[in-house]
Amino acid sequence: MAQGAIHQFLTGATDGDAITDQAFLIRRWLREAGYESNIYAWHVHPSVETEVRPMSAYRPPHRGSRGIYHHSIGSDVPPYLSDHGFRLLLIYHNITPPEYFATVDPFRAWLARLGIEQLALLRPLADLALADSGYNAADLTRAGFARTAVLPICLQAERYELSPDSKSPGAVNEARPRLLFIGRLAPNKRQEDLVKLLFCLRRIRPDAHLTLIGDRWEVGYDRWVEKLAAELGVGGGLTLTGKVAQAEMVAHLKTADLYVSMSDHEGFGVPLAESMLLGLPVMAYGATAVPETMGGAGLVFYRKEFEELAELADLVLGDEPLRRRLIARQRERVEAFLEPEVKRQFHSHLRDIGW
Amino acid sequence: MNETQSPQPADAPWIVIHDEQITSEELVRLVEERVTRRRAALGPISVVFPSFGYVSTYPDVPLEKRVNPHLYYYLEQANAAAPAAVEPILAPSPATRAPVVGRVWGKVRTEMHNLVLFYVNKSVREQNRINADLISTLNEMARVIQDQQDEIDTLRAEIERRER
Repeated sequence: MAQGAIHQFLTGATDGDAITDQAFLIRRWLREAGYESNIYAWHVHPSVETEVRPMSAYRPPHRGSRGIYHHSIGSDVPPYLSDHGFRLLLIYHNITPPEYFATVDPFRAWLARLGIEQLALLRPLADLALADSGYNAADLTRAGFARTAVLPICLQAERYELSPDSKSPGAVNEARPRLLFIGRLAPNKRQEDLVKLLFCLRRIRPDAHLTLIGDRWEVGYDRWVEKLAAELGVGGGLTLTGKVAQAEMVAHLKTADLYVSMSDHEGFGVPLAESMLLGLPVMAYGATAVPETMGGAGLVFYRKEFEELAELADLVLGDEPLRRRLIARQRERVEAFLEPEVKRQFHSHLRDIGW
Repeated sequence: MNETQSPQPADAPWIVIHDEQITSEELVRLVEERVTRRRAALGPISVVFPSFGYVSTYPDVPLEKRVNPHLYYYLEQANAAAPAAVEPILAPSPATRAPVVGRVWGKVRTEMHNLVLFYVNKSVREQNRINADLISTLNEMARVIQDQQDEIDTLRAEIERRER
């Protein structure tokens, strides 16, 4: 049954990006429900150009067209949607505070500030504003959005059922124990604190290894992290893989011993949920949306006391019954982020606004 | 070693676990005991960990206490100077309003502008970072000098008091 059109709009689309992945999933749900649905983005990476259309290809049929817009940074998309009088279902993925980039990347800081300002432009267009977490929803409430709700990032379990040998994480796999963190190399993710933890952990377990998966941004933070590791004498225990394909990321998650996050700012924290899904114990700094995503599972800490955290990591690595209990609780928690539950919530929100 | 702390009630344990066999309080105690034992066996960790992008703010010392007024005047100027702008500001051009050609010209101008910004921003970003590092270091040095001057003044006053 034809339900009309609901297209999605993004600032940028690229392979392996959590927002792009969510847009693909929503497109599938919409098409299954009988809607005509495509994805349009201002910047389309060649890796997804067969799936995502450029904004210039979009022709709005009339004012008041319905659309879903994923907001995470300032761009030309919100003025475009405003100029064409869209009625929006806004999905807000949080904007990293500009202060993290003010001295190292003023342009990115400016884009972040612009993104925050553009919430005011989006507010009158939104029939409903969805956020990945309650933490993000609070941002929307502060920005004056009258109607908000939470729709968590959805994990598609089948995307994680790849065999670990489909793409080997490489020779570092031999090192034990292996700590893992996934996230772009950026000051707010605080990979430097993981290096400090590695330094302390190597006093206890000299072969401990830290793998950092994530895009190397251009702000020079990646080089700074590598330099710090070298200065602390733990450079040999650190691997920066850069961005990796899904199969390789799954292989890392399946073969690591502990997922550790020191991130100071997470609007949701997809890798936390991915680790929980794949049975990897999680130790995470309880900043921003992290405690909410963990939902009582794993280990959440509120101080960056590196010596103590190294002992905590050693405890989790060496106490098999404790590991099993942590993993079991994490598996229960992650059910809330799997497709059946999130899809049900999404359709419920659509019905609520009469779409 | 405590670098940062996120909001958590002061009386709540700083490590949280929900487990049927161990409470958060017991876990914190266990971890702290292990640290004590480790320090006894291996010695304390005597490394200072630097933080990326650490910025020391302007040492706002009262006028009458300033070691050198000129130092503070120029240091304040340096702190107040905003980093070089990198926003894509494109001045409007009447030529872009011309029919047909104007749109093409506008697009070419924007693309050229973005291309220049791409390269210029790299060096501006680097210079901004160096400036921020230098100003932060000067702030910290001024703070140390001021503290030392305060200490010298206190000691001088003590000597004078004893000599009287």
